[in-house]
Amino acid sequence: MSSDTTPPSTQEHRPGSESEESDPESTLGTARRQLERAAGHLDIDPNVLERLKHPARVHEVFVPLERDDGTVEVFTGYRAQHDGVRGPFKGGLRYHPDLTREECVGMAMWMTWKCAVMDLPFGGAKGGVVVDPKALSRGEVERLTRRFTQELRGVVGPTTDVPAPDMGTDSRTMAWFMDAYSMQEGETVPGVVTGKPPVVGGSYGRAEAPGRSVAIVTREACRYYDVELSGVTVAVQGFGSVGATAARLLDDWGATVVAVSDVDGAAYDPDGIDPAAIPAHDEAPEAVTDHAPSVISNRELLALDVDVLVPAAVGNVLTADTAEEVRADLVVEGANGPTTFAADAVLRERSVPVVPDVLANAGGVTVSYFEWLQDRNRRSWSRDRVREELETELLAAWDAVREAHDRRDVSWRDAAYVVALSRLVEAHEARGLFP
Amino acid sequence: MRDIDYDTTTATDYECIQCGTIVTADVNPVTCPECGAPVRNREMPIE
Repeated sequence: MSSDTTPPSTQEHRPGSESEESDPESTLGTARRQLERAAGHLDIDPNVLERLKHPARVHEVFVPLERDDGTVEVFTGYRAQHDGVRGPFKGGLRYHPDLTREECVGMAMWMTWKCAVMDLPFGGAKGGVVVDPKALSRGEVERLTRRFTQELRGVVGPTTDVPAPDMGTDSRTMAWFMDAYSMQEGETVPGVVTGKPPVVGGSYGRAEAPGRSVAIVTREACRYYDVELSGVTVAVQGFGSVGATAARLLDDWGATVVAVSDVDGAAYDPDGIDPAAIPAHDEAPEAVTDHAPSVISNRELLALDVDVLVPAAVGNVLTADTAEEVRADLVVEGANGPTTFAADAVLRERSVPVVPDVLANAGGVTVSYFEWLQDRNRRSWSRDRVREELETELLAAWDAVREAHDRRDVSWRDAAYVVALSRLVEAHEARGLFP
Repeated sequence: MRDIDYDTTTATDYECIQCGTIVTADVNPVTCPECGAPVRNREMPIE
């Protein structure tokens, strides 16, 4: 997409034009640091490494929206495409007022690592619109989405770039995106996005996927450390779809879940709680702590003396301070980025193993891959098949990371990124550099 | 990896995976009030 033929509402930024100085804890700074740490364990071509530090392209678009009151407001949208050497770009679209171009680039890089760890035939991408969707009506969100789709139409597609829901977007948004794209293409193209409602090509098993992958990886990690799941105590921070699914599965498999939390605090019982009963389904949703024999704070949950700690709420909960208080024997990252760089160093120094998010919660992108496959074949899988295939993919990824962890004597996080980088480098070397 | 800071002080939108119903609530309703299917916090990324 050259600048002299580029419509005024679409601009493309090449790596040389990046002017942001990324701080180490920014998404872009973190993604590049992870790349450099992994590269330090491998003998790779510095030319390939240099390519991976930069996105392939970043599209900036301007999306005019007619509000319900007739006024027109213009919003900025982005789609960062990091690396497509292994396949189409893959990553979410978010509607958030704090979205930045740099955020999209960093998250796109992180998606490249995640897809490579899971050995999915995708590269990484991320994008969205700088908007607060709560400030728009349903009709405005729909019009915004359809126009945004049109602005990105030339750079997305089932074999080029496949978006998905992210912060502030959902299956309804994806259905509108698919419809807008399909109407312009003249045919129904379900594979252009994932995260759709099942009736228009979405996959079963999507909601539970990230939590299920957390539970499976926790189970395998316990097995690695020769700990029977039936004797394991678990504390889960966050009782959203990830935390709740992980807690319930681990409980079903014999572990003792002693604490779960939401924003109001944590329910705690050292003898074990029943995650399936919290919260009880009722007309009015009730907080986790309303059903607790005793209540502790989220910070106290992070410091519980348990076998496994699963931060599954938000990012940056394990800081240098809270990491010093962790008494768990193992941390499994259910959320995206729950452990800061400084906390990671503290836990490493204290010999507390941390299974990283790019592996533990990769169930989401893996089931997205399954949805894409189902759409490409125009055939729907049952929920049981999705679960079986997810277990197969996760066990293969776990085995690869475990092998790197053992052979190279590195942390789980470094092992995951070594696996990812190895696969990316191999693909780049096989394909060479065009032209 | 520092992502956008999540706002835990305001009500959150939860989407039903099955029927698409959006529920705005302070705490996760876990299941959809319309069809009983699981809900997803729309503020959290999926992939």
